[in-house]
Amino acid sequence: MRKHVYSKKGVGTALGAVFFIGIVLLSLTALITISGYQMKYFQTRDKMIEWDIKRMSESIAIVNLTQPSKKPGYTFDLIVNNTGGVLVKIVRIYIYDNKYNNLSIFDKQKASGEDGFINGEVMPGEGNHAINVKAQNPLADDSPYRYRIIACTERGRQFSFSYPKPKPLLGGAGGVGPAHIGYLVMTFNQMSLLYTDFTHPIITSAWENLEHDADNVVWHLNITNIGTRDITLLKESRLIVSYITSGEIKVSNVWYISKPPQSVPPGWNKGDNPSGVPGYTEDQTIEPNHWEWVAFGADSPGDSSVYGKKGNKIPGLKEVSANDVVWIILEFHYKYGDEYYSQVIPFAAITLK
Amino acid sequence: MIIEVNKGLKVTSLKNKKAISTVVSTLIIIGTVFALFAIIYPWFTSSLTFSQSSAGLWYLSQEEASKERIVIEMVVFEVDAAGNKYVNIFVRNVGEIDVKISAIYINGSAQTSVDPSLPYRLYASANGAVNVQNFKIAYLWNENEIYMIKVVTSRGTEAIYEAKR
Repeated sequence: MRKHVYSKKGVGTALGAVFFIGIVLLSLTALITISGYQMKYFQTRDKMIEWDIKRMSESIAIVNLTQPSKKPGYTFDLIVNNTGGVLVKIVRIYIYDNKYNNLSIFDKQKASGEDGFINGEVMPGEGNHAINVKAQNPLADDSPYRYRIIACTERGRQFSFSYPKPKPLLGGAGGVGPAHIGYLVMTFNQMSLLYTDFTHPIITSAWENLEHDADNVVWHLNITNIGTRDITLLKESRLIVSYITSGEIKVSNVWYISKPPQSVPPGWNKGDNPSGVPGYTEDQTIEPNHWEWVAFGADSPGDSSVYGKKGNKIPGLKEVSANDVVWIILEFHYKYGDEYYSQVIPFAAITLK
Repeated sequence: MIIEVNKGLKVTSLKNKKAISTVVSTLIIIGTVFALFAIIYPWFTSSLTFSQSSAGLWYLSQEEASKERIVIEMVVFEVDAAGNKYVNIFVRNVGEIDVKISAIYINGSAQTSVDPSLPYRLYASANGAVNVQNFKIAYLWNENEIYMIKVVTSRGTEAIYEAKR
């Protein structure tokens, strides 16, 4: 004991140990503190990841807009299906009028009678859920896609819908309604597919006039833009006639798009259209929901077209008997807004015998 | 004899390794350790505290940033009666904390003519506050052109939207 008290051995070791233990304790404290911060951050991050997963799980489909609303006092209903796995709360509905560039905003209705909507909560798996919207005016049943409707959810997702939807093309008597892929439809009326041959009036059927010894013709068509953007027809657009000969179907010459005549059926006259029309220059724009006359008569893209027997004769037509024509194919190439489209409209030729 | 003793003593003192006394040597050791401790301890504790607080701040900022969520709900291109062109950007705070909208970019260029002016505090919806704001920007847009719009918060959270009139 006495030896230990007076021994100087181990003093440095003891002090070093104290010093070391102090550093270790401080380091451990720091480590624990930082781990605490880190843990808290990870907890928050995990919670927000979970929130993001729920957000991504939100999926609703706006399937229809019905007006007037089935709920008294409301203007229209948005019919919604929740195809996701979480409850979706709609917090705002934007309705943008493409025609007048006007925006309407609907939030949750605060008081009865005010503009806004109710029933914005859609349960997972719920179908045909009606969100009742109170607006100042109903939406106009105008041209297709006039209104852009965007429903925003509480978690920040947006789901859109366009109104009105284009009406389905109805079948004519004894026939089936033509389906179309694209934004152009041919408008059939008593003047469809008439042609002009300079010497013959145009109020007769094109195929009858074939038998009047016409060589060069300019076909007239009435087409409608059913899209929401301007359509500019390209000079490669053409009309093709297929016919049957010796039991085989053959394709006649083609007629490329021409500059539209100054006057069109039924008011066509020689004064406006002396003997032909200049080449097509890709400047014929058809506005949404508008129709325009289109002429086909050029021998090749951009060429001028000639009526009657003068000028560039297009062989092949005269040789084709009207009775042998089986298909008329309209091949439209056009620019829809900034996008390029090609669309073929075929239809069976029916001739009067 | 004395000489011998002296000689002996002299020899002994020269060869003696314990020239410094136990007390002095102990004091020197203690002094050195304390001196080192006095230098290292403040440095160590301050750097440790600094690291702790830096880490704390960093994690706190990261935590807050991870709670931020903003979305651009709608973009509307507008022309007023005088022919001036505007872009209206509807931004909603769908996160858990208030955010500060610090910048809005259109096609990569920061917009300065913004109403309301930036930075703008956009509240979270937790306490029922209005958490959506329309930012109206004077901008010369063109029809049928696609514009990339980016809204950025002060903590670096972004919302991106592509729009066209």
